Amino acid sequence: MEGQAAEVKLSTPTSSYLDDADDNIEKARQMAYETLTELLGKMNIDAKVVTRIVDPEDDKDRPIILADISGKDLSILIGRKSETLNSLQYVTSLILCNQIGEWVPLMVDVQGYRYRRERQLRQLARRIADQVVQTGRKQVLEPMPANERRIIHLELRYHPFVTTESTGEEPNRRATIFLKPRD
Amino acid sequence: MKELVEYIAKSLVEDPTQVSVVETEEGDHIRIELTVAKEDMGRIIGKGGRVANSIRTLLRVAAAREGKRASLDVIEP
Repeated sequence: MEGQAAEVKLSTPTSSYLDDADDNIEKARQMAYETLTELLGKMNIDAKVVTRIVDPEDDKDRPIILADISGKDLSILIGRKSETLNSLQYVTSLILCNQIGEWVPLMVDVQGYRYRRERQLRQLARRIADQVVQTGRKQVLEPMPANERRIIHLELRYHPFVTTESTGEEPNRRATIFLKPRD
Repeated sequence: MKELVEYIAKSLVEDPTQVSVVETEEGDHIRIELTVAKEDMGRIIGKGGRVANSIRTLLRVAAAREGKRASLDVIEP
């Protein structure tokens, strides 16, 4: 009789792996919200934090937590070459990782700044790729942080004629776009 | 300023009971000294100082809100 009861319990949907993953990311989202609100409060910055879970464009990637901060005069939160924003994102990610026990992909944004920057970078990548195809000569982009170079690489990863790679040392590492070798 | 560093440090270390933060002010300069357990030094400093530098960046912004400058020293116990 006891055995039967246990079987019934096991077959309830809450024990599936998928739901566990959903629970974890939802827990991480809540924690990201609390951590950022706490950090901004202690930095004396009056701002609102909205967090949501974004499904990946590519099935191979994991969902990410997007935290958007809004308020008045928040350019100080971006900083030169988005240094402050990156620090805020890094510290928040580390705190999440320490509390949850695994690394959770997190993007911290200020009023859609990263989103707009990402769109610009995607356009830049496609425009430069066209130039490379037309001239046959490789192009080296301005130095960019890793998350921005990643956008360039991702945008062109299925491009039929060009390929990308990063060269140089941080903080002067640059994305390079060049023709695919013909085989 | 102290609360910011204390919150970050306590959230990152294994042993929060060993976190202590001392804040001293000279004119417009705020000096923060952070002490953590020896085993937690790596978590606070990070590879190539990346974690400590990120904390410094946030601290600088917080201090600038009050028209001040701030520095952070991580001290080995």
